[in-house]
Amino acid sequence: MPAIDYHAVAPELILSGALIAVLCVDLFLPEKRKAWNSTLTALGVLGALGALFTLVGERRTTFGGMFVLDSFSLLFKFLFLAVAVVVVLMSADYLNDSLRSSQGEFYFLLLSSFLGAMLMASARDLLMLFVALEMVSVPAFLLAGFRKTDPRSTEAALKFFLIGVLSSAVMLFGMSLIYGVAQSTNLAEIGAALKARGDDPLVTASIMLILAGFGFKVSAVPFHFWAPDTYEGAPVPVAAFLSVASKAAGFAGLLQVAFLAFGGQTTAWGPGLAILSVATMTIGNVVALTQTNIVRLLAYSSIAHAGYMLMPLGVVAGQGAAIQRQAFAASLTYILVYSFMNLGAFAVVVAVGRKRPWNLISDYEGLSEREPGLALAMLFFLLSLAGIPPLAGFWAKFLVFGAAIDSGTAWLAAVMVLNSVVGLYYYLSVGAKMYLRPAEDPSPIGVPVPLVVAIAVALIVVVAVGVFPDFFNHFAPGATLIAL
Amino acid sequence: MVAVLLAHEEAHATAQAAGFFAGNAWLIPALPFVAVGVIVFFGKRFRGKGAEVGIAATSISWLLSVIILVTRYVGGGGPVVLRSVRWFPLGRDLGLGLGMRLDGLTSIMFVVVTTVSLLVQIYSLGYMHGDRRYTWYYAALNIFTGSMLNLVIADNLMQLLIGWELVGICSYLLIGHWWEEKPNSDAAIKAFITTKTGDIPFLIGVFVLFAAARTFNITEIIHQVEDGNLSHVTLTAAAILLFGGAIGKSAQFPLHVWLPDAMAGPTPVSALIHAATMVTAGVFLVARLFPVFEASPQALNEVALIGAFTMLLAALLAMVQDDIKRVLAYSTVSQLAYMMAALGVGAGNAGIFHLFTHAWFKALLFLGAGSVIHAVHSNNMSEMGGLRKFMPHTYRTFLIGSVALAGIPPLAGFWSKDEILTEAFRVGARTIPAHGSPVVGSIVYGVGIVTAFLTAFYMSRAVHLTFQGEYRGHGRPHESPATMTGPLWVLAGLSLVAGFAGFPGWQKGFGAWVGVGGETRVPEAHLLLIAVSVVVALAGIGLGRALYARVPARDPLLRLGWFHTLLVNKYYLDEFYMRGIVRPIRDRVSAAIGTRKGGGILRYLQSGDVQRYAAALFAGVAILAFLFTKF
Repeated sequence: MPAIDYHAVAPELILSGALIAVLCVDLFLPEKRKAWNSTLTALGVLGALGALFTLVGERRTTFGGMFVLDSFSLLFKFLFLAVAVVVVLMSADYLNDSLRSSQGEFYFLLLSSFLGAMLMASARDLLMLFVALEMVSVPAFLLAGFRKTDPRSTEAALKFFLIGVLSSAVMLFGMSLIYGVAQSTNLAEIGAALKARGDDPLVTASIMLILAGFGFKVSAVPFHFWAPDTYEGAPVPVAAFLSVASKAAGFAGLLQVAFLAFGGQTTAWGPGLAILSVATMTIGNVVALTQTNIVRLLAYSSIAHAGYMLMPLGVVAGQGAAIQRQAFAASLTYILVYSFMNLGAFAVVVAVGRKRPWNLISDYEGLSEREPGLALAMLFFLLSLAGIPPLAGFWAKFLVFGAAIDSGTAWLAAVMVLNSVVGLYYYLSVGAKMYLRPAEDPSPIGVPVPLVVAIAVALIVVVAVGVFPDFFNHFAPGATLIAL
Repeated sequence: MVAVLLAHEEAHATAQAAGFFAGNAWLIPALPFVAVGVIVFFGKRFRGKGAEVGIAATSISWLLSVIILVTRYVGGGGPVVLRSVRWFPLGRDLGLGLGMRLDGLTSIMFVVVTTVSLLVQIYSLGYMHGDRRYTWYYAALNIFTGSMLNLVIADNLMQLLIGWELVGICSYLLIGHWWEEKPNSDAAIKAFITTKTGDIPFLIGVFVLFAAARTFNITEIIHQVEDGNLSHVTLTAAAILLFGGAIGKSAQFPLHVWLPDAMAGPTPVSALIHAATMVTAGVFLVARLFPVFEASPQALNEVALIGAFTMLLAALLAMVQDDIKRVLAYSTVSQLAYMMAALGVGAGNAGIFHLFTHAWFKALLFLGAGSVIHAVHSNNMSEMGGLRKFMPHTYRTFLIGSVALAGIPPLAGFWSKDEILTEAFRVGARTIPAHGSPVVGSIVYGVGIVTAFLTAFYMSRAVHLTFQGEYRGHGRPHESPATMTGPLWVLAGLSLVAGFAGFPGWQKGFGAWVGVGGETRVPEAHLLLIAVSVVVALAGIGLGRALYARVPARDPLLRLGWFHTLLVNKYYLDEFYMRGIVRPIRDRVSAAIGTRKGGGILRYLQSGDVQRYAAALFAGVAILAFLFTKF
């Protein structure tokens, strides 16, 4: 038994310590001091972030190859911890207002889920991958049902749970088949075994089952039905978490499996994913057009964005290494950029929801009079989601677009552009409501400081990356998987 | 951001040679955008509520435009200035840049856009005084101006596309400026959706061109076309698809239906966007990519025939309108069709020359109509009449605009319209080489002459119904303030003299320094054709005078019987679109996504019923299985 590389897993260990600490400390906190939980959680996340900085530039392998630390997993871990900071900031006042006494459990579950996401980025073994995936999902089931007194929240949790379990079963079935074929659970070894084996219906079937399981995690059509119902019923910060961290974790797993284990079978899964991505973006955008609830709107918008993120995977079939790398970087960049603009939009929803808890789009009428700063931030997030230059979302779309063009699948690029036009319509209609309609109640909303910080962080990323797109060229293309 | 841009600057060797103003022409579109920022954030704190900011920025842009045009002219054309910054180099071929292509076409469009925008902004000081969203109105006008200038200067199709979409959004916002009234917001939505319908083929056309040429850069695309690198089939497909966007933007048949409804916007907006500038973007696009069209006779013929058909169709509609703005709107559709037809027969310079002269007199007519509407509080000519006495400035300038549009020498419209007709005639007579078909040239000439007659007639009718006879409206009309009549006189002056820029046979005339598609041939006059045009125009005016000099109790056009009914109902095209296309699609889509009661596939699936979600999950696996085995 080789020694465990404790430095490599230090961020995860700190996160584990923090979640146990939160659970224990909460027991002894009096009712009016419950808000300390959020401080403790934030400290834990920052500690993990600090440990992560000591690992920059490292390439380490431990647990017999199950856990790998490379530039890819580092990038995702930074993303997850940054998202965790923002989600904690978003949750602090939300919980104090409505769910004061159960904050301890909330942060415990949140940290558990983030721990799963961190492990996911490093998981290079099917078993590890599955455990990480469940670790992201199971606490999330509970978080979705956290507003215990509201039947909508319970329903949200139940649906999420049932569909989640079903898709885990499907994925696990696929994994068992793959193990039967490749005689290994290590992704790299599976890749080598499959390359040697060539075309095999059994392999195709298992790839398909595994991808279907990931389809649930990233909410791709037709595995997306749970998402709008769950986002709507769950507490808004949890919806933000699900649409960003949980989705990004799904993509982290998907990218590793697709390129490491099934890298030799691109012609088997490429065209299928291309069609899946077209269906996902189109249905997401079209259904978003008719929404009246802002959370449901963002839910369908996040489905559409999953389609954009899947698109680069759809163009790699039979392509050379250069295009594969370009597509990989495009998908990765899109996930990073999407995370911040979507988090920002959800943070604004949390802010507006303080006065208007039903989260209707009509609540945004005249927001520019009530809270000019908040309205401007929301406008930036919406424009970035729509892909308007010079905001970050534009460059993300542009990279995906470029991957499609360079791989010679111009029709996918065209579908994407048409979809963006549809998206523009519903994003702008919210913008128009904020700026061109009068407010029913002109009193200011009042945004608490942690929420202001959360929005500011997201806004700075969206604007700064938009103006200095070279930023990506320092990270995303460099972030490769070992052995890719 | 500027630092990033400058750091990547490349390829501007020609810029230094071109002199300071031409080299920095990017300031012209940039300034209105700067003004927008100032107006949005600080506008309400200014004494003029932000209007002065917009006017100041546009004035500087205007001054720069005029300097550039004059220096280009004095320099005998001057080089094409190409300058670009690569913002985001990417992948193998794809790079996105901001660039400028400053040639004769750009210089002339700059002057047209900035002049009309400036005059419209000054005019709006009076017209929009006291409006609820006055500051926002000026911000929107400046977004529009900047976007249009960006469209004109763009050296690559992506940048052009951004301008193209932005002007469309501004048009939507400004048509719906008074959105509290339902017809206005309906008109805005109709305009947006109709032009978008054209934008879909346009987008695909851009991709086709990109896929073939591997670049978005307009100059490189044109080089490749001229070197014969691109196949005929590709170019035909690209040209026809791109023309789809031009049909939507420039309101050509069958997508012309949005423009008359767009008159729901404030009248100065109609003058700027829906007469002089934005609607000419389609014409500009064809002129900008003229070599692409020239390489395909089929595409050129399509452009010419659509133009010929639209000019007649719209001129007939203009005859029967009662709303003065709708007369002008259909007239705009008809005149844009002249420009298209000119491009279609290969006379690019003649088309752009008409764009240039039309901008002055059509902006003048719209602003004049606005002045009248301001005075009588109605758009209907049946409630006007006799305004000559009350509004002498408006009357005189409107008359000048009408005569210019009718095509009476020596006013502006005569020269450009006659150049189009002469060129079409010569293509038909095969005395000049044509890229398209000579038969099409003859058709354009024939239809053009008939339309010229109708144009003179409907303008004569409008002038008589509005200004002659007795006043039929309410209250006592009054002349508009100097901020409104001032711009009218400026435009009237331009309408009087602008035509001389393209005096036939003049070696240094319009065509020589605009040079659409590299063509600098000097057009020659044909005395017989001139005589025919003038006689036809006078006959149209005379008929209008005969019928409407003493305002008849019953419109004599009613004697046309069923044809009149057909025209009043706009050929039933709106009904056809609504019943035949819009409603079926809308019903089917809303049935599918379930916005109405009674279900729909997606609504059925998104039922909240978790068993169904699970079924969808397994169906998804089955679909994946199918896709994986099929491909």
